Amino acid sequence: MSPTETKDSSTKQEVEIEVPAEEVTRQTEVLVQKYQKLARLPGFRVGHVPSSIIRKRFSEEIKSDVIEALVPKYFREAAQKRGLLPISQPRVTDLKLDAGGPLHFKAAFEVLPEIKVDGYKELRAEKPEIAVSDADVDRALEDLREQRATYTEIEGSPLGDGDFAQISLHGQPKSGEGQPVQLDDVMVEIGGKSTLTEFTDHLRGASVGDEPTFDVVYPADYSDQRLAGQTFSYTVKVKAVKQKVLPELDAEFAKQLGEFAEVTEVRQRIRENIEAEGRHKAEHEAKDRLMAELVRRNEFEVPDSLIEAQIDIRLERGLRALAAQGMRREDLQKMNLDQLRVGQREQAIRDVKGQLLLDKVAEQENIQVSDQELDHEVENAATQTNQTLESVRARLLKDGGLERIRERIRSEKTLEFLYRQSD
Amino acid sequence: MKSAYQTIVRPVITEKGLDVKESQNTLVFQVAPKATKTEIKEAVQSIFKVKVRSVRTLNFVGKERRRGRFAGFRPDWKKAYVRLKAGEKMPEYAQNL
Repeated sequence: MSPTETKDSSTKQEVEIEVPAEEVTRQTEVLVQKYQKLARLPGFRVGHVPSSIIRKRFSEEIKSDVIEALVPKYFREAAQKRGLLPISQPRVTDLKLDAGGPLHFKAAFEVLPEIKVDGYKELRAEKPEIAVSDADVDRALEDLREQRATYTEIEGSPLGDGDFAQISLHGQPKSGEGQPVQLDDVMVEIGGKSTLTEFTDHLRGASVGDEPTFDVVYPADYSDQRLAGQTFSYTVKVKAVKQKVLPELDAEFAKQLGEFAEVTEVRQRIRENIEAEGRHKAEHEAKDRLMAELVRRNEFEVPDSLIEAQIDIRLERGLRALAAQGMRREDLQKMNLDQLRVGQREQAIRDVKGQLLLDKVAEQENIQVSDQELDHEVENAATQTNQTLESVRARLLKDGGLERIRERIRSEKTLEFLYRQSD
Repeated sequence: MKSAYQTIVRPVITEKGLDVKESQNTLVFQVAPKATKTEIKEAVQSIFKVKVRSVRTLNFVGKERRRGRFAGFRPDWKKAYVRLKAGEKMPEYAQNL
């Protein structure tokens, strides 16, 4: 074997490999024998076809089989010899194979560039103080009261602003097309923000038993598409006039919410929750910034194949999210994938860089994932998907998912490490 | 005049055909059913430029073939064993069989 190597960039490598003629002949011999055992030709019993006929009849097949057998083998050997770790499938060019002669080919592939990660110890993340004001707590408390509001009927008084009308309504589209609307026992707030002005205007002043009739013009951008842009003629029956009653902020209310004895305890819990949420968010943002800074400080060339793979992952994720939001398959297929790919490229490069840098940091800091941590994660996945631990583990073992999870945990731990030491 | 290629239809390549090629310097052909030994001899000599020592022939009766209720027959054909004179070189097509 006389491989030569040419370098044209830090990530792209090309090796020229020549497989000696003897090796090619030996491989051909092996294949001929294999074909001889299986070949079914008219005029010959199975297994009795002379090798000369096999060679002639199956010359193309044997040639491609020889290439298939030798190219990857010699490519791997050549890569190993030079200590290169290919991360992409080799692209084979200049393939030459003549009967009885050596096999000659060039293989272009990508390797990870030399990554030096510097200055991650000096990375500093801002850790803002999380301040929760009394107003924040008050607002949260108000929301809670709203959620637990009850409605009490008011006798003998017409509907005024702020009152709630319990109505049943029947709506007929004016255009004659579309489905009529029929709803019973709806609560409508007179003058409320989420109430259409037509309803407010026509119901204000009405009393129980009134049946006003009026038209409602839905704006073209109305949230319910079936109604948007349509005009409906409504017949409404007022069944009751009700008033919203917010629960008092007292021990009774606190008990309703859970194991609280006093409102002060509720306030305390709310404050803690808001704080935790804020801290979580801040931590997340800080980590994002840390990553961005890490990538900025360590510039290196990213192999194309990794970028493409990352774009694939991002698109896959995006499309699945869209599908989960109820986007139809036909619409998804209509999207211009090439354009999307270009759009994803920048972010994909950042992703890959960050990932590679984190790996490197993990290596330098000797951050490892213990089996217990892995088990724990698998267990979580199992409970989330409602499967048994064993079946999840078996599946992951089979498709190599376990290693992926291990890598993910390692990245998370590394990021956590960066965050912790960034004080 | 009938062409030599109307007499010789195709070579017959079988285990037995290879055997007799080695042991008896003989080529095997499918030939036209009406061809005579003399015609076969002359056809082989003119196509492959070799001297023929002898020709043995045998007739095959076409087998019955059915497509559902329609019965028919495969064509009858004739096989010829053509022995070349001693020392004659095998034609190229037969050399690496």
